[in-house]
Amino acid sequence: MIKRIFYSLFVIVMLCQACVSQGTVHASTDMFQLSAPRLNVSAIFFESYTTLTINIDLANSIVKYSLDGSAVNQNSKVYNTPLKITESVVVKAKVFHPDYLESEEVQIEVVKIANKSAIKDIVLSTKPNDRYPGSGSEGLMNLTKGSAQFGGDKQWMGFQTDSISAILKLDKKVEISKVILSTLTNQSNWIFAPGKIEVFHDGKLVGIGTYPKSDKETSNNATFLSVPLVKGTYDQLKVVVYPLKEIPEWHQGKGTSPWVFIDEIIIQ
Amino acid sequence: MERRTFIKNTAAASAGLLTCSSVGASLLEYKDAIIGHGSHQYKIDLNWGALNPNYYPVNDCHEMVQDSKGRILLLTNHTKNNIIVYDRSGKLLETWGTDYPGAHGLTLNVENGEDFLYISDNSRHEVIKTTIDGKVVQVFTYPIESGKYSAKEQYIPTETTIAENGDVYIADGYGAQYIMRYNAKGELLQTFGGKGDADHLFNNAHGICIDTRNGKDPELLITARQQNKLKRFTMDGEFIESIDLPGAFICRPVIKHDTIYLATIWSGDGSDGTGFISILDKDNKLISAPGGCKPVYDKSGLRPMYQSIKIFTHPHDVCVDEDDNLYVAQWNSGKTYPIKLNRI
Repeated sequence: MIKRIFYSLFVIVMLCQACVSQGTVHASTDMFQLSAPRLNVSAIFFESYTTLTINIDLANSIVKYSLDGSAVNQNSKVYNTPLKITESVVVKAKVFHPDYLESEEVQIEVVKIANKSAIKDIVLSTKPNDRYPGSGSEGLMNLTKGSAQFGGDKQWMGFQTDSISAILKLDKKVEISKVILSTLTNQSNWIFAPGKIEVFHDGKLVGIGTYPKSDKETSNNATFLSVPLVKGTYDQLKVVVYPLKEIPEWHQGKGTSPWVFIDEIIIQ
Repeated sequence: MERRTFIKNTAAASAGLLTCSSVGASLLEYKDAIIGHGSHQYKIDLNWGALNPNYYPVNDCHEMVQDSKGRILLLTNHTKNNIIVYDRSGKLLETWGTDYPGAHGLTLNVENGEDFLYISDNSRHEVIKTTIDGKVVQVFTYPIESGKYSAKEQYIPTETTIAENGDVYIADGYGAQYIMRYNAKGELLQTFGGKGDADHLFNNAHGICIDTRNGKDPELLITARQQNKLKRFTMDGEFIESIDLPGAFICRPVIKHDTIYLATIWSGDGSDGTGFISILDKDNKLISAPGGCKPVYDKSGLRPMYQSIKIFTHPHDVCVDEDDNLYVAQWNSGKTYPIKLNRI
């Protein structure tokens, strides 16, 4: 044992000498943070299930996740193989490594759709901005999510107006309890989630949602805003989306009109 | 090369010995970070070239080259000292340049035994040729004679490369996406490229260099950064081939021996704070990605790349020295000085 320690010390001294003679201090692993894991789902909107896969790159990395909205920590579940998800959930995940600092938490929201065919048509009463025209009402009901890199993505309609109105023409046989608006939050590009959504049937208010978090500072994400409705069957609904009146005080664009980006309107 | 192998072997041997002892175990808690893959792996020196920002400030560190004396030159868009000259150890030797507010591209070319620099300036909308100590010898103003431009603001050159016969190629990477070819006298010979998705067109023709690896006839390598592609062209501007690097927003190609190095300013979906270094072998295959995930090729080509460890923030250029160490200049990284990667 003593011999072994001696030998180790000798090696250490040699190593130190090597370091000193080179005059270089190399950065150690504990100075660097892992990049957040990449969450891939087979579909954001699904009828029966969606499959979640998470890339693991570095050897000895461990990805942990939660599906109940709780923050991910060392005690969270370990990701090993692709997960089959059958309900609307927010997936949160983080990557850990014995040498490197743990990553930031990332999240992705997936939405179960009860009736894919319930919306027959969408008629927009408010035109999107010429710069972000989307691809007409078809684009709002094709269940294809717009990408985080919104520029040039035809899934996204961009608006810079006081309100946005749309008429949803529905299949009368289907009972509806919820309207979900799929929007983008990208505050550094002046894109904010709306503050309020109202839903009318025959001029009568049947659902309202307010979203006080929309003017709080937050990272870029896909934001789903849900409006609970008086449960029932409807031949058509009018949806009115109210963007924030102005960009909040803490933002460099304070006092001006924010952008609202919409890629889907969904019925549950 | 021999020195590198020696260090690698010693390190492996010592690591093996250290794991046998408790003394070693405690020592091993501090591990040097090693990044990259396969034959191209590196340790990270964050202190190389760090200076007092009160005296020698940088904004974006855009590009770096090594001159014939072995000195390392850094180009920054800070007009207090657009060029910062280091020795290889990172010691400051001199600074010059106060007239390049949009200093972006830096190419070194040896002409009749003398080093010359070509500085592409985004704000001046022109390329300036200087001696190695900063004396201006030629200016390539905006190419109105090409017929492609009606105002100089439409022309935002990002990079240059110079052929054996003296022809100068300029990439208008932030402007109208044309490649201008001049003779040494500065007469415009040809314009090709332009903006678009077709093979012979570009979206962000950010970098350009001349490829003569394996003794082949010279050809051009031009990046289409937003398209995540490196494109091969003949010296006459005929498109040959695209090399797909999905997820890698590559800046300019830098060739050393038979390897291509490309700073990759963003990665994955192009989010802020991403990036890594791309290293391609003689067959233009991505073989190592320091800071990025392990490159994997399957039937459909390279799997999309993404950042794995947050070593870099928007790498913008790589300079490779004679021991294959890398010097990485970064854009929009909080005014940091370059990072050196020592090959192991």
